[in-house]
Amino acid sequence: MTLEGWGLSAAVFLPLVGALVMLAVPRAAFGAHKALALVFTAIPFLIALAIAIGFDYGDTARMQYEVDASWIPSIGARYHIGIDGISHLLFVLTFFITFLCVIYSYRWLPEPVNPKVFFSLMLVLTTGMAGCFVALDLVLFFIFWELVLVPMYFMIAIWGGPRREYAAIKFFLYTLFGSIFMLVGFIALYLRSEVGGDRTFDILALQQLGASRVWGETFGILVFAGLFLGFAIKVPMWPFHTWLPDAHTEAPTVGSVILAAILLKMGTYGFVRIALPILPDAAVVWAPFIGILAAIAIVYAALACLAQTDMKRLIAFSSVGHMGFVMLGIASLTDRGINGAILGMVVHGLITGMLFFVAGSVHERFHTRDIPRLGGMLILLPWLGGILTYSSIASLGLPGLAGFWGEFLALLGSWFPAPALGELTLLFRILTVLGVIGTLLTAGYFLWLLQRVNLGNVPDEWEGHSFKDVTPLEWLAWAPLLVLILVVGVYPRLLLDVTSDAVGRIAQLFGG
Amino acid sequence: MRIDYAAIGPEIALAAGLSLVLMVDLALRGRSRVLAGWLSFATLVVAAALLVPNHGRLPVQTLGHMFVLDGFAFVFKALMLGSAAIVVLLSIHPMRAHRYEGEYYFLMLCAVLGTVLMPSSRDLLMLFVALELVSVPGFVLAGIRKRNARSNEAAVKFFLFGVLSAGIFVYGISLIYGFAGTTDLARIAQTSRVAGAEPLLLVGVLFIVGAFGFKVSAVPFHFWAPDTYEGSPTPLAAFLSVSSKAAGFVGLMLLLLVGVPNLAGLWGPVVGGLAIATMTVGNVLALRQRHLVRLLAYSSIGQAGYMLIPLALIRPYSTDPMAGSNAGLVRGLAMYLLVYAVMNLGAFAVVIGLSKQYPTLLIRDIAGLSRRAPFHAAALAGFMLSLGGIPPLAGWAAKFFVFLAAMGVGSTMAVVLAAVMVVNSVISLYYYVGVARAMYLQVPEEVGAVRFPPLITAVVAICIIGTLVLGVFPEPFASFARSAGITIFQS
Repeated sequence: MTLEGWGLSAAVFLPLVGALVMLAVPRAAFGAHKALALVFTAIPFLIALAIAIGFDYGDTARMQYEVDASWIPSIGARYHIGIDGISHLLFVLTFFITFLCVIYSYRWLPEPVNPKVFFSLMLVLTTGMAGCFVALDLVLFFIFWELVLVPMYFMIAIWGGPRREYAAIKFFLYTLFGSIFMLVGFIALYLRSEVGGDRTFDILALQQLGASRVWGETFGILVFAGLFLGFAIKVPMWPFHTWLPDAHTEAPTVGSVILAAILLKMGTYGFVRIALPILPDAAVVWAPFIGILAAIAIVYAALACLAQTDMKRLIAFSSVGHMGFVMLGIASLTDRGINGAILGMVVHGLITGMLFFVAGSVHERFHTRDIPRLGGMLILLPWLGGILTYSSIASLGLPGLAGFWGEFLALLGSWFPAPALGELTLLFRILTVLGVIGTLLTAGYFLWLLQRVNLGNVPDEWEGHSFKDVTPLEWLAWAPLLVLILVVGVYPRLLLDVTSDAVGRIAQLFGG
Repeated sequence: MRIDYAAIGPEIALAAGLSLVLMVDLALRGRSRVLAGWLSFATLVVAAALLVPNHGRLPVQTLGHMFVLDGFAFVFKALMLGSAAIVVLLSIHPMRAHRYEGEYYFLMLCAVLGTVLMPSSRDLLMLFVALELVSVPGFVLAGIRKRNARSNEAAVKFFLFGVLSAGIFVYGISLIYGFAGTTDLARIAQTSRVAGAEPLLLVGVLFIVGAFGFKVSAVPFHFWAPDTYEGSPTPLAAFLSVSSKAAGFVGLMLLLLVGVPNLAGLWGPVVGGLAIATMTVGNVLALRQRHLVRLLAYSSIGQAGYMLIPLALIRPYSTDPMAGSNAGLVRGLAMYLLVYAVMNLGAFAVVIGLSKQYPTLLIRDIAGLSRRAPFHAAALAGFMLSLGGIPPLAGWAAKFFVFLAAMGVGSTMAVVLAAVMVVNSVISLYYYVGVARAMYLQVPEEVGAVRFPPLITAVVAICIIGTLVLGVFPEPFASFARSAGITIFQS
């Protein structure tokens, strides 16, 4: 039995089917809902793994498992999906992370406990995110893109912290605002695509048109602006990041994990999949601008992190910084930079996902995430403290752990920007220096975090309390992440081999 | 002159049915009077059954050139009959054992006859008759709860605005007749093509646009709508916000596109201005509403604004075959009306179901509804998000088609209108999500399940399934709407 043809669709839509099945099960049947959620994330995850195993790694630039069927003929929108080296890792990551989230939630369900709604929202989210990474039609992409909004809104608004409703509506309206500009860009591309014959929303066909440079200069720059707004808000890039600290801080643990590990990547993925290859000329014009914003994001986020006292908020701001590295890599328009960016996306998913898990578990035990109130965690909870140390160090980019490679390649890419950006080499070198300063600051705030939370004596407040250290279920959910962080750190080619051919084809557009 | 009875079959069926309802009601007593409702429903089914066989022989015309059944008319008649059938089903429970139960259905069928007649009218007088046939029964229906002060207010406001608009409609006709010497839309088009932008003609057209603006509740002709929706029996509000509004749009399209297409450069900006005002005022005022029906009223004003956009962008004698063409614009509007009917009737269905237990119908009343009626709460949240245009609910497709057509035009006005639509869509989501927020995030004041009549639950189910299926597969409605877009420019 081959997965060709139906594999991708099955993986993408099974979670949605699961959500529908859960609707039919009575609310009080907590156990059934947990089991259903587990089944409907495990099976898609297994399918995704099977797809990954069957993937032809000799030709990662080619779309594989492609399906191209009629959908809305009136406007030429098609059900066109497939994966290549660029989407492969993010596609698998989506199912991997959601599966781990379900395992984690078996023990820690946020108040008010309602597994039915909680898990069905999570399953709908999964479909939206995974669909985004396989969609090869702009309308289809848009639908999946918007599909994540409502479940995430409710996830934050129902189970979030004290300011949940504000955070939720801010996330919702902010992202929606951006996505409408993105849609305007899509429609503009569609209307202009008639130069290639029939009008089309097909991403691959539009990429071909882009490669043959058919768009006018102004047109390209304006459309890129629309796409930029949509993607940049999702990433989020400085100065569009203000929704993120609120959303992350207020969201329940699992919501933060999904948000950080996968949802943000939809934005960066949009740049790599849609904006760059379809509008290469405009990308060259916009790249320095994106690079500057990225460098600001890196430094700004690091400084903001130094000022945070809420552990979750700190991790949220660190996300802004890490996504800055990803965007800097993309802005370099080079093979190295974009490879580093994709690697950075995946690795950030693993590490920051892990960090949010830890922050959530700290909150479960201490009922606070206030850094000054914590301390001596290595004495109180040696394992949890150890995991926090491990993932913080991975996140600050210590060589040998996964966080290093994405940042390193992004900085390397930006030090040698694409030939198309030749005249701007100096600017990009300045940005690289800023990025390096950012890594130093990042190391600074993470070490300071560890110093305040992990080291020192146990504060009087917690003296005499006994806390349960990492539970078996937590180990089960976290071990895969911890192992992968090390494996990718030691052997990054594991991931780079998947992306490099596909990225090379994009980099060619810029003479790289 | 031979009359093509098959073409006017639906109208005949409705006329016969409404007479029958009136007579049967006289013979019925007590609870059996509910038969009038089912008889009305049967009438609509028969009318639809008589409409469908015409599909193979479009276009046909009869009664001189006054009555045309083409693709455009077919699409909208189907819409009118379908939404009327849903309104009748929604009426059965709230109107049961009402003192004027039989009269209610009789008047409702009269109004439906008007909405069904409208798409076939190709003559100013026919348009006027159809419009008044929709309006006049509405005045009575709005005040049918005689002892209720709000119902009286609803009726009086509706009546005064309605009569005023009827007056300017007739005055507009007289001006146009004075200029063209005819009330036949096609011949008016010929005359105006020769004469160009004659002020007399233009003033006449604008008067009639105003009269239809009242019907579609375009700003500044909208003042009656929130009060009338609130005070009327809620099923009538559903009818006014869907069927009656659609009839207004159909009339507007016929007047402008068949009657004076060559003056599009002049009336286009006027309609564009109406669209901007309607979108903005409707959505901004909706933000402040605490009453569910008033919220839906302002929402439906905002929605009317979106629907005016394609009409504002029609260009005289455009032959561009693709997205931004005139046919594409009309397709966008038709698609919007079709999708809007499904989702808005669904929203009203939930509200009507609530009205027995919560006659006040405040947003506060639905706090925590998700725990007391999970299915209905989920459905209402779905309708709200669909009205807001969130995929994969049908509303996105409606907005998408309008947006696509507007951007295809690409003129400055198109860009401005599209931009205003974008901003308004984001604003509107604040209150649409607000309804969902009340149901899911707030704590209910009472406990215990809210009971919905089975018939209303069935309608809610049909509408939510339609909203979901059309959101994922909009093609059936899109190609149906397309036939309306293509044929109107051939008449």
